[in-house]
Amino acid sequence: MWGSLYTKRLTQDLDQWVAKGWVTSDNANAIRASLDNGHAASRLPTIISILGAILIGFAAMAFVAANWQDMSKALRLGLLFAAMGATYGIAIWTLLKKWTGFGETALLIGTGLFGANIMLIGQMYHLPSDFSAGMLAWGLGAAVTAWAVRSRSALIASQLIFLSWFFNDVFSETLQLTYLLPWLATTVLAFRINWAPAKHMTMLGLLAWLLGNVPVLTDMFALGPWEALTTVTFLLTLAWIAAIWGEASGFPFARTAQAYLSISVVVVLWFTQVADELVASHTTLTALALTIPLTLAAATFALRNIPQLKPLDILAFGALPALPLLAGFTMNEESGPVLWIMAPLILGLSIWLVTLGARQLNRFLVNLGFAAFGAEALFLYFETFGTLLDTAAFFLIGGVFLIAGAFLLQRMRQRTLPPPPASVATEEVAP
Amino acid sequence: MTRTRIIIGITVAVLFQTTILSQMVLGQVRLLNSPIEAVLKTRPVDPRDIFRGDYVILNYEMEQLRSDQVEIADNLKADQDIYIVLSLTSPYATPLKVLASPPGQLEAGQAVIRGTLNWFDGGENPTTDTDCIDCKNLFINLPIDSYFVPEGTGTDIEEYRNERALGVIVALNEDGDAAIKGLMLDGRKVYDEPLF
Repeated sequence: MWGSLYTKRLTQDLDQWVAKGWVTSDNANAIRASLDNGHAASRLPTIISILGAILIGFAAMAFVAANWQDMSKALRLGLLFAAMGATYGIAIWTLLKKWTGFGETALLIGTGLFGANIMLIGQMYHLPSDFSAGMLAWGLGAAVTAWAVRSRSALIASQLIFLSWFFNDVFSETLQLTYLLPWLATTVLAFRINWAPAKHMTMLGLLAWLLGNVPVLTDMFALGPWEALTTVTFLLTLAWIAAIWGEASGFPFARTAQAYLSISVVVVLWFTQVADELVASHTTLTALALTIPLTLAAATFALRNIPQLKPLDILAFGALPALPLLAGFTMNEESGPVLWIMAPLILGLSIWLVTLGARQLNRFLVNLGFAAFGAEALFLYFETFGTLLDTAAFFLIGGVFLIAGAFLLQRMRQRTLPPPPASVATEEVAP
Repeated sequence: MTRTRIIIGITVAVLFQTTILSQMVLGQVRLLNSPIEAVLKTRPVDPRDIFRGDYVILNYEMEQLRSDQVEIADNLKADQDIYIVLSLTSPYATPLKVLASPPGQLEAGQAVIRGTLNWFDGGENPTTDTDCIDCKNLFINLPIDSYFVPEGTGTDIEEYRNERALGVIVALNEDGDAAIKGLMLDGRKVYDEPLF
């Protein structure tokens, strides 16, 4: 459906671009021909078959609750192994026929059946309800399949299963380092097959691991809540600096990694100004004394040769971990962090993000900066005027404020970002 | 991807997954074949949490032990594996002592079962809610906590368990691993688990 809509729209656009002289007739015909080879429309059967695979997986798992006591254990085991083997047989057949989409679907069903078989065998032999070990075994099976045939569906399944396994153990009192091993194995494969969704899962997995371990790290190093927030900001900032360096060094996906890390930093820092429930106790200068010089050193070392960045950027990176501690030091124990200290800093951070994004030609950072600025302005409006005005006036002024803000942001964004490359195309194509 | 790569790759994946599943099955079959057998007495649990679908949550009397009932080692820590030495001379197995490490050589009529120490009190913080004020109380998890039953029969078993008439027959090996072999109601074997 989406493929045909896209084709229709592109065909209309191509007619206009040819008329304006932006695209030659030959090039337009070549583009139209590429649309006819069926690639755009071929995804729908694959998507439907994957949905079918998920339903089959659920059906197998629902078997856990079914009464199949009438069958002998040997017959049940035979059924389980035969179903799994047959599914992988179909995967071999479809992949040899070059039906990649259906092959991936069969591999996904096979992976799902493997997980269902773990549960069913556990049920048959009354194994202890060790959810964690079962998930780990399932994830390993999926990862081996992914590596063995470079399967995208098995890879994404293994990433999700390993993440569930991690979340199951995240509330324990020990640092969950073991997750990093399967995470690394799936990350290497995601980059080897160069598949964007798996790379995104890689970033999400890493961020989930980092944030999930915060309570344990806090206990391990006897950190106060503000020191914990400082440490998280510090680690995220270091990773962000590494991603900028990675982009400058030509590493793939480094720009997307920057997006994940920058938005995580902004969310953590924004959280510091509304964290009324965190008490100011245990806030010491140690974290400040350690994190700021280390961040400054890392930023100086990694970013000094990147021409788009200025000394101000290095200073700004170094200051990021200081913001949570500043909020902790200055907070009022009854009302939380002091608004007039934190709000200008968050607004300043937003503006810096816009300028950093503009110099790096990083559209995401620019948009993030504007979004953070808008969110902070709105937050300030709610915090300061919400209690002063009556309801009708509050919403009226709020509505006007939002519309004006949106208009202003769009104007600023247009001025900040470079113009689209259309004019270049005109110069090159025009006779 | 080449034809050979597809065939070999998927074969490797199937072999790996089959090995994991087979290991699960064979490990349990080996344990169920063990000649050491004990019957453990169950105890009632919070009725709001007892029945989940078609399996019975099993709690055992020996999952809560007091130092005036059994000998308890001094060096126990929460979340560690512990070993309960059992006497098999009566119809129901009775705990003799709780150790932090495997007991080594056992006497005739004894067996060992491995569990996890959830937590304990007593000693430094003696409890006052029992007859024995200075006793150490152990709260233990045995890894045989669920029993899958034919659909619709779980509630009956729950009732027996809450009347303390349910015994669980377990197979044990020398390392203290346990597997459920069957159930006893009022001293009568009602479920007997076949190996295959």
